[in-house]
Amino acid sequence: MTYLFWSILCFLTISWFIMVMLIVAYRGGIDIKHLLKDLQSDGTYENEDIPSY
Amino acid sequence: MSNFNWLIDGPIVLIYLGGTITCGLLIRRYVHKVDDFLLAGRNVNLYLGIASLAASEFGIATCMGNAELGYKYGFAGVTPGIALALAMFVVGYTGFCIRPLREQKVITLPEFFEKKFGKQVRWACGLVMVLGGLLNMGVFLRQAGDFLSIVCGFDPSYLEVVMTVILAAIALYTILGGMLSILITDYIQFIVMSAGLIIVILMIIFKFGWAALLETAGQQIGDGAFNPFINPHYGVDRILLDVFLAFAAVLTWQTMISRVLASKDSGTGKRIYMNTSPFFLARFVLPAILGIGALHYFGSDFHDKSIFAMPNFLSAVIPVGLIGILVASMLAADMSTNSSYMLAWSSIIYNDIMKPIHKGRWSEVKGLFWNRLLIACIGIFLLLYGLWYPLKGDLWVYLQVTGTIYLSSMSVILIAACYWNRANSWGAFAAIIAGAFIPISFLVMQQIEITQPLTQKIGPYKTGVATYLVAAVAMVAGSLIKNNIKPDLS
Repeated sequence: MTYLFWSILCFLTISWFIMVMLIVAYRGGIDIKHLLKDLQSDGTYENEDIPSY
Repeated sequence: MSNFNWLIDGPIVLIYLGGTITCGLLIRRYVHKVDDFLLAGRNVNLYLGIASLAASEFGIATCMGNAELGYKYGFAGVTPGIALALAMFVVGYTGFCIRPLREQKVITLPEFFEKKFGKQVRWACGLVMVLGGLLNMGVFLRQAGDFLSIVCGFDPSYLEVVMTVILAAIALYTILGGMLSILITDYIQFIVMSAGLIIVILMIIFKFGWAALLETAGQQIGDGAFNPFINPHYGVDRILLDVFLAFAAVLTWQTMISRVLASKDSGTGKRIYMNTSPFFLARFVLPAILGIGALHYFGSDFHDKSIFAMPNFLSAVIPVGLIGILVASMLAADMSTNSSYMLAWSSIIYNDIMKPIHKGRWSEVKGLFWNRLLIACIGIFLLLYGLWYPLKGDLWVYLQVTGTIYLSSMSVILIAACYWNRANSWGAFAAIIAGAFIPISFLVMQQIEITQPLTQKIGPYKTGVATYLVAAVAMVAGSLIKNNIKPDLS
């Protein structure tokens, strides 16, 4: 019974890990694109806001 | 004898290292402010948050420590992972403490505490967190050096050089790009680390057979390999410490909580926690399988040096080509952990301990310079401490005891700050002193010959459990005393 419990737990953990790796690989890339876009626009705004002497 | 081949595996590792460091360095142009440097402008979305949290909490030290648990205790060694996964899911689902924390838009926990308990508590909390955090990560570098020396087959006399090179590479992109570089490199590292680990685990399961691994655990360790309650080296006190530590870490460990603080909003922070919770189980299950694999391959040959069983096992059974991917994945795991930890503790030193000096009035340029300088100083400390400190007992137990220095008091203070109106600065100070004194005394007594037998008799688990309970009692008692003596001030 305990063998079965650990076998199922390990199987589920490895399966979950593979699934999440694939999802995060795809969606994480999109998140990075948005993050850099947001930060770039923040930086541009800031630079425009600072008067040059 | 290692299967690592410098002509085939070497280029795989170098391509990975070069690619990651280049990405980390290119990102620095997006860093304009201290907020960008420490929290990536609080723009982190769900999937990047998951990748970053998972990658930063899985390093070579974690992998070796958890594989050691698998080698010594079998599947019972996965117990801390079950506790962590449950704690993370519960906290993520309910938003317990993390929702009010994220909504306050603070950079660190001590900054949040100042709002409730005042400036002195903020400073003291910062000090204790940095002390516990740095002692905790002090052993990371040596473990990484040991692992790489064994798996790649270096001469052990090159250990210091290997450690220095690893640290210099990590420090370079962390110093220049801060949290932003860490997030991007964490993403790459998560994919490389996950792919490498999965390939190696599946290879070991298919090579030796799942049934054979289960049988080995049963034969070598007995029924206790599958049930921590009946394992003579585990027991209720250790399980209780695992549960306390799990909840405390999820609520207050700076590298974990910084992902909540960097998230877009409290809802995203909660979802990052909930979705990453199974990873904290995987963080123990996968290394435990490697540890049990080592037990199957070597038997009890590594009984006295169980920490080295897993790397020796991998260096012997993983074939050329695949071992390069394994080393790249372990380097990925370690780089993401070290970079996140260096930034986490430097952010507390700058934001909380140095607050009385800069008073939040320094320019962004000066703030960025100091944050970068602090990371460099932490790197030097790690190098010196990693070479100096002799590890006694299980690696995971060392991580638990050093973590408890601040986890016990900070978790108590955080819960009180969020949900107990009568909590005040006296209670907070009492919790900090009680929470730090017990584990530090234990670590010191462990190194002194005369007191060593006493530490062995009491053990780290009862000490750890006592620390959490005493910190909670101190918080309540201190607050009530102040309320009675100075009712108008509290």
